[in-house]
Amino acid sequence: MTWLAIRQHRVRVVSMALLVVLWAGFVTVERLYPGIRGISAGLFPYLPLVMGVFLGAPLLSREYERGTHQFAWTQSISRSRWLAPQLGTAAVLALVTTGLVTALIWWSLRALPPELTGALPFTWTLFALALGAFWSAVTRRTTVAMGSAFFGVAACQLMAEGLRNRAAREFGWSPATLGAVEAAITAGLAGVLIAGAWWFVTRRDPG
Amino acid sequence: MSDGMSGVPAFEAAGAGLRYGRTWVLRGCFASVPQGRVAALVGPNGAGKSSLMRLAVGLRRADEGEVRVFGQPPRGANLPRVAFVAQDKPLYPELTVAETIRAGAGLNPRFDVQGARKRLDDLGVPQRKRIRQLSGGQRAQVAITLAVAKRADLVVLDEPLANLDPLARHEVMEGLMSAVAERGLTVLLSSHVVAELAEVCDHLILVSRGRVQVAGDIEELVSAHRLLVGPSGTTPAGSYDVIGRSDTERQTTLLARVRGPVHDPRWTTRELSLEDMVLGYLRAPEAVLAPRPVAL
Repeated sequence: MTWLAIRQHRVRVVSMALLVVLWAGFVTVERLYPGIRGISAGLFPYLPLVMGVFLGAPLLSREYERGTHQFAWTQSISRSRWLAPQLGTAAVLALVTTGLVTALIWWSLRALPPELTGALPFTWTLFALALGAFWSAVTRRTTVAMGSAFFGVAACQLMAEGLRNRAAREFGWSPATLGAVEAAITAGLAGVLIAGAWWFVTRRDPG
Repeated sequence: MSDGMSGVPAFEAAGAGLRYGRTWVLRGCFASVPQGRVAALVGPNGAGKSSLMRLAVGLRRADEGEVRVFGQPPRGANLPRVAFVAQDKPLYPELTVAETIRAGAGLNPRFDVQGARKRLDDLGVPQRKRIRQLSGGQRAQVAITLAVAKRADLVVLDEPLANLDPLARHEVMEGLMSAVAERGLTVLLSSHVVAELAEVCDHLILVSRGRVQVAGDIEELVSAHRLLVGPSGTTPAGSYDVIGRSDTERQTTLLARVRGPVHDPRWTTRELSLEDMVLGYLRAPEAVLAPRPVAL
């Protein structure tokens, strides 16, 4: 039920709006003092971490921890139909935030670095969110899911960095090809993780 | 909802079992509650009452046997027919009462918004307050109101009176019974305090040590049991089963299920309260009185 999902995300919507506002302020400073230009773009890799930790990780564990899954799952709709708007709301919120931040970086630099071009920032956001939601469904503990999401996303970013360099060296791929392949892989992993979270919610019995 | 299937039990457990990991918390449970009854699920703490309720509302699937609600498993298209209030009355604490009603309306096609608002007004629960600001009694009323407003045919309440003061207990019970009278609901409610259920319930399921020990109509159960008191060293003549006995120097007291009159001038026969009967069975865990229902 979409209204409930959006209502439950209200605090997180406000937090993401604040984050965008802060970022906008920082980018404005960058435009006033061109010498520091590029710092906000360098902060971008932390954005997927924020998505995984604050939007993904609490998604299901908060229900388990407060026992409200017993309320949500004994209404008239199936768990799948309950889960879809929850994931959907978190995904839309994460994608809009990422889009706004990417636009702000473009406004500052008048160009986007390779890791921020095309679908790449959005697939990374979705991947981080999905990883957080997956750990949320598996561990049922917000703090544990947050930690797992944080280190999981950070480790994947490091691995991606290594793989990117290696692919560029050994296959001689252009940045565009690299970006497309990376986007496809992150999007695919996000899909797998969402399917995993769905499986745990609908197929595994709550304790 | 009358659907011409009034013969189908509202709730039925057919050899149902449930385990957490390798530990079975319920094993081979047989019980059936006819439609329109107010059934008490009683038993000591940790006996498996909550587990049986989780099976009834589809939060868990039986690991053996089957649980049926109006003849169907409590899943999918059958979910609208069952409402559940879990033990801690879980509701979203950051939502206001009005928002909680709105959530209920969005999650249930048959939800009675007007009825829920009116009931909470009558009970004096302020709808602009957040759930976390309510007292325990008010919170219980909101949770039960939502379950009733779902217009389910079976309402399952896990320890609805726990953590409530006596006045709130009375009000919660009164509210529930008025809803039962209005809507002709079947109710399954649990408690470890038998006394608070005796007045309102007409059906009993006694759970102990992970199985259903006694199940049936309360009046029939109580009238089938007698307390037999007589001199020690003797046994009364007649047709009965002894559930429990206690001996003092001079006299023997038997808790018995009688099948016919007990003729013995030295023995007196006394009627039992529901509570005494339940206690008797709890002291004699090997005595089982749960007729196996005919499989559908």
